[in-house]
Amino acid sequence: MKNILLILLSTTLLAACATKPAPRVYWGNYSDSLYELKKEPSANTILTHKQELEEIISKSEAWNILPPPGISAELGKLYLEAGEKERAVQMIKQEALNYPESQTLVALLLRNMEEQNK
Amino acid sequence: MRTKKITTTKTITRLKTLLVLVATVSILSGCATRTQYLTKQEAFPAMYDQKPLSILVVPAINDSTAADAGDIYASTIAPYLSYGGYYVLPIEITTAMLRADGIQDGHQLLDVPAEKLGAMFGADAVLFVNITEWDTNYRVFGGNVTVAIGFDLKSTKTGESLWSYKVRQVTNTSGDSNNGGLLGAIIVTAIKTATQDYMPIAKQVNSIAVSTLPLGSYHPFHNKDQLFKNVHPDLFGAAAKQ
Repeated sequence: MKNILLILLSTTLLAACATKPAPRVYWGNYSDSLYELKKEPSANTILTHKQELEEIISKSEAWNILPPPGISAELGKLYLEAGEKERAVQMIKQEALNYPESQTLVALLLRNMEEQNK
Repeated sequence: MRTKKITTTKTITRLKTLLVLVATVSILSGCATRTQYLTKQEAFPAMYDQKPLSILVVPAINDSTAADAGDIYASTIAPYLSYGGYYVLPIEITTAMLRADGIQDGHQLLDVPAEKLGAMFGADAVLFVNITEWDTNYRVFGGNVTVAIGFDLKSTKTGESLWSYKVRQVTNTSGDSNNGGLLGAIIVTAIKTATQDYMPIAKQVNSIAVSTLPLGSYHPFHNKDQLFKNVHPDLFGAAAKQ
């Protein structure tokens, strides 16, 4: 009886240890933090959404999956609006590296940014 | 011995009656109009011909009474399209660029050809949606929230509609009548309906709609779902645009 209990216990523990399989794509609480930001744009809601996007990207990296479509570029936009130009350009370029489908848009964005700098 | 035989005959007769009844019920239920769902291939052949990879989501046409329905839609649609295997252009960015060009609202895009939008942003398809209902209904006994959205995905190569679907979702918001009697129930319903969180309802509507969309290239079952039969005959094509 004791043996059975031990086996059961260790199986449960092992099952808990097994790493969860990576999701195909991870969006976290994207929709909720974005909606809060759209409903009431404030320093607070912007920061929450920015942190959500950063977390989505870091978790995706940890799982070795691509960050969701558009997320890197959207984070780049928030960096740009906060005046962090270098980080912004890097993030926007990352979008095109992850998803070649975004190349036209990314090129357009970078061109717009250059024109605004002139 | 004799009595036993009679009982057996009776049992057989009863069994026969039962069988007839069962058969009748089955036949009758077979007659009841059962929805003939279409396969994705039957409903959306152009989708499998063109195989769009990227989708541009443009601002919704909001014909409902809720002012923020468009924002809720724009915040929730991208994840569902990506679960369906598509690359979705960053909505926050494309919407801001359209706004810079003077386009605030989906109505303004009605005359803009999908081809033009596609060339501007480099998208294979454009998703137009029409929010027709987004209402909270109060009743004495319980209320409900109704959300109806028509989806229309257009090709930027040919301008034709590749996929379209209409979803109408009614969510009950009745309070629990066991708590505080009738008056309590009415108050609970009013509060629940007023503060009804639209986000889960919008997510549900997106999820139902996208389940009929042929899977995109980022999905492992891309180009393998042609025979998947879940397209309601009354909800796609022209019906989605009403």
